[in-house]
Amino acid sequence: MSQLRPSHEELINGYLDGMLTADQEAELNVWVKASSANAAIFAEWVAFDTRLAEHCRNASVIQTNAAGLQKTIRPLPVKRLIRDKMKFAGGIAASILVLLMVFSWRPSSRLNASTELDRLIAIEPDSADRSYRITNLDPYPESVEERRPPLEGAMLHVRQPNSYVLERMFTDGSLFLTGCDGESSWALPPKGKVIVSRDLERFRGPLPGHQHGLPFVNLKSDLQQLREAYDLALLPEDQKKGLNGLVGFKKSHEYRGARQVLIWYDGKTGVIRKMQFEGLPQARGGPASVAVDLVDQGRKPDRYYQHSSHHDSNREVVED
Amino acid sequence: MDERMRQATRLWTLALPAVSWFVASQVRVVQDRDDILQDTVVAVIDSFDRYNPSQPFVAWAVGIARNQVLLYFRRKNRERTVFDSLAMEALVQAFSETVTESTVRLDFLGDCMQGLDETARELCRLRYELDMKPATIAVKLGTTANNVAKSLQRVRDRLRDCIEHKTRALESGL
Repeated sequence: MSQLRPSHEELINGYLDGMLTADQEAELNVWVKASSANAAIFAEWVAFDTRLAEHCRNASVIQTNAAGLQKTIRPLPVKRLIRDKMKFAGGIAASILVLLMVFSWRPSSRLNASTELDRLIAIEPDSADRSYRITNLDPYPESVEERRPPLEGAMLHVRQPNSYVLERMFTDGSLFLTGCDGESSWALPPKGKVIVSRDLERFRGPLPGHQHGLPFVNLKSDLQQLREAYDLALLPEDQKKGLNGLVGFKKSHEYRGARQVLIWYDGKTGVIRKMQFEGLPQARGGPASVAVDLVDQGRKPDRYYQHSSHHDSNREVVED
Repeated sequence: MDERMRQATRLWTLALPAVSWFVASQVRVVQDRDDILQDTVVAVIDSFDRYNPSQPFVAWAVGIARNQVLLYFRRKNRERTVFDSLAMEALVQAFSETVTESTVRLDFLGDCMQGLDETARELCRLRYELDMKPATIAVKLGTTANNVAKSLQRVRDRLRDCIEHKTRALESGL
């Protein structure tokens, strides 16, 4: 630290590294409580440093995996948490486990999460059409932007593999559609040009969980990526509805996507009825938590997933 | 999963970053933070019925974490903590308000880490992955603790500048 009176940044860095003298700690204390702005600066520094530490620790885990060590999926232990095995970055897994314990909730003893996911992956997806409604679960409404309609109330129509249409509505009732027919993807705003791309993932950004290819658009691939990026556990079977459930906790900050994913599916057919994403990345806006519910399995017209089915021939179509 | 647990889980997931950061700001021993976090989530669930939904959940949860932190210091017979009650109250407020914006900006950290040179990455590895303090790093590298501390500050500044740059680029629509 400099011989001159240290700046607040030097004090903060010194605190983060455990380098402050008692006098300097006192000075930091005085500075933090002097104003809410100072407290906010300090808080932001701590958030940054903590995330940096998590990133560095997780990077070593990923390198270890890449060296060929198998990281197997295991059900979360129901027994008391083992203190020195839980990393700070795994706090969410620890937190959820404690929640399970407090509510005397135990995973199904009949099934194993890993086995169950393998079973779902092995089921050949049919070519039926399925429609899902997306609901914003945040306690506050999504901010609406001029060119980005909200996800709340959006409808996602899917046909395996790789065909989808996402309908989002602006507050004035106009629709913004994005989709893919398996050969090209497209974006159809309420007015203006239709944009088409050979990149099938070009317009998947608004789909919650898209960072792992979730949800639903290419189900087999999606579930395989879920296995790669998340630690999984079983949810109790909902016998009334005949639904099984899985909950996944993201293994590492290296993986982008929701911190937590919950899936409820038909135990016999493997059809996914509901997904819930918690802690979605916020860098590009949108809600932090959403639910995606199956609402319809009616057949769509054959060309439904082509953009031409959704606009008249006068619309200009441009290649991205 | 009943509705109460579903709601508690959802709210806790949203609050966890702010709570984690608050605990990290007060408790420098990484392993102890886990214990405090676990005690906090139990306390949150135990008192969830008393949570008033008109109050921001994050602030409420961080307040509970503060109480757990104080209990922790008492158990450790720590007579003096760095932050007095006024400073701690200011930090509870600050962390409660920081979470959304910080989470968005910090998503860029991974990209920014790619831009670090080998020396900077090694320094981060020693400091964060191996949890070595500057004095220990200094011995390893054959320099002084002060030099190591300054180097760490420079690395942090570089990363923060990168995050700031990417955030501004995103906001301007690039």
